Order: sequence, then C-alpha cells, then structure tokens
Amino acid sequence: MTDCKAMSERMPAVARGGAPWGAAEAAHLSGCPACRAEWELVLAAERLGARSAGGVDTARIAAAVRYRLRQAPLTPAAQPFRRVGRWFAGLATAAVVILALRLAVPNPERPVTGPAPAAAAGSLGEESLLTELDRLTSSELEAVLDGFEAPAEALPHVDGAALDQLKPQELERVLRSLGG
Amino acid sequence: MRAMSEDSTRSDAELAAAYRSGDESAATELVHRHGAALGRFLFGLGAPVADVEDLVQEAFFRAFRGLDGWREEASFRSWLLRIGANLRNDQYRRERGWVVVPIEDHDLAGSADPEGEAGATEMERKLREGLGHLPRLQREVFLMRAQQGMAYEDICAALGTTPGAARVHYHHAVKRLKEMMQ
Repeated sequence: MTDCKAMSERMPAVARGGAPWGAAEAAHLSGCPACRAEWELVLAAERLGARSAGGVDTARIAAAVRYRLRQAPLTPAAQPFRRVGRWFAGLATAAVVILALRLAVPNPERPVTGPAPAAAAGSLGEESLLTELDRLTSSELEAVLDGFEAPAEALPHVDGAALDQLKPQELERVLRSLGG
Repeated sequence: MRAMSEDSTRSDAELAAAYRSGDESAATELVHRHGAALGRFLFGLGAPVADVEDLVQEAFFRAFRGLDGWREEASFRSWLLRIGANLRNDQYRRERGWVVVPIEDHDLAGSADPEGEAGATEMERKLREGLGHLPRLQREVFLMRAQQGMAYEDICAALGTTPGAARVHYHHAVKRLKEMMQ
C-alpha cells in the first residue's frame, strides 16, 4: 500500500532521476492533491538555481581558493597551540571576571566592625577616601585612626604551638587579624 | 580528460586526506565536485546571483582551512553546505543593516535579483520567495532534502540535530510552502 509518507520519502530521489515512480505510486500521485502539491515543490526545488547559480565557474573558484590557501597556509603544528592559547585566554578571562566580582560584591560572612577603613578604601577608591579624611577635624581624624586595626607587623609572632602562651588580649588580636 | 583522471574516482574523504598531505589537485577536484551544488544551495537561501561565486569561494576557503573540523560523521557536501549557509546568514545580517527603505514582501526575490530570475519558472520564483519566509532551519533542511537529495541522517549530522527533528522541519517547511504557493 502506498501512503503519503512513503511518497514523500521517495520524492527527492525520483526528482533527481533515481528509480521512477512505480504503477501504484503513480496512481497515488494522480489521485492525491496533497502529494501532487508536494511533488511540484520538490521538482521546483530540484531545479532551483540550476540556470542561474548552478553554472558557477568552478575552475576559476578552485584557482582562487588555491591561491588564497597558499597565501595563508595553516601550519599543522600551529593549530594545537592556537587551540590551547584560546583555551588559556578563556580561562584567564574567567579568572579576571571572578576576581572582579569578588572585589565588587561585599562578602556577607565577613563581620563588619566600625568604619572598616581598609574595606572602604578598596570599594570607594583611594581618592574619595582621602577627600573624606581631609574634611575631618583633628579630633574626628584621631577617632578614625583609633578605629584602625593594629598593623600586621605589630601582631605577636605565633605558630600553632605558641598560641597557648598568648595573653587573652594578644590572642584576640591574632584572631581578629585572621578573621580580617 | 579530467573526468577520467584518478581524482574523479577518489572519495571525498580520500581527496581531503590527499589535500592535507599537500596535494593541491585534490582541493581542485573537491571544488569541481561540489561547487555547483553549493552555488544552487546558496541561491535557494536567497543569495543574490552576483554574490554566489564569492560565497562559494569563501566557503571552500574556510572548509579547507578548517578541514580538521570535518569529522566525516556528515558527508563532505553537507558539511560544506553548512559552512555556506552560515556565510549566507552572516551576509544576510549585514544586508539587513543596510536596508533603509521598507520593501514589500513580494518585491524581495524578484526585483532584488532580476538576472537570477530571468530563466526561472514562475514556480521556482515563488518557491525562492517562499523560502525567504521560512525559519532558518526549515529552509536549510528543505533545500538539503528537496534540492540536494540528501538523506535525513546526513542532514541531521550537518545541522547538529536528530533525524526525527530534521523530518519535522522538512514537513513543516513543505506545509508552509504549499500554503504560500496557493
């Protein structure tokens, strides 16, 4: 039995001069307007561009392509390097984006104590912070300076074993410095 | 005579391998073998006749430069048609940027490309116009199947889809084209 699906499957091959329609298929085609319409489409598609674009000068195109390939040869050895290079460039870009996001977005887990001048300098920019400091009176400036953490070099030098020997205030300073 | 040469008996894969080993005549044979089909395919996708040769040349240039990208899951022709379709799509996007005067749908195929349409039948002219209104995948699948006679397995390998999806695209295209032809 010939159905429309089977007819549709056969159409491109028949249009291109493959096995012609059998008797049953020809009968179906003459009695089925849907298949006839599709057949006309396939015939038109098969001919489409044959007169205008099918006559491209392949000899001229081949010569031009060969010339261009000679001008810009692709060295097989360079190819893997190019791929690896692209991969690394992608990785570096991703790293920069992640770093930028980490710097831009404040960490909610980090405890914020006092004015946090170092963090402010990072986020607001050194210039705006200096302008802010210039406007302060000397007493206000002193208050701000008091809020600064002790510099890292002033912290007592400790390793794992020496932590037990620290005084409670020293231990607290060390822990605060580790917590940022 | 070229038709009797050794090249004409070698498969596309053998010619591609020969080209990789430095045999330029293999590239020439591949251009002779697939150039006209690619030109007709590009015309079906709406490329102006004046641009077809340039697009064919560019597609072959890119194909040979990127020959390592051809995995032979798809035939060389379907892979080449895919490259051509991408080029045509890029060209279309650029053209769209140049259009400043609104053009009626019925003007698109006929007036834009009079010399290309001179020899075409009314049916072919309408088909080309209708193809211009289809979504890209439907248009490409329809042409690969109806114009190029490719199997669905080959089409789906070239377009990165499944045979089932390619069939669906084809039947949607046929349905819409039939409606447009009426």
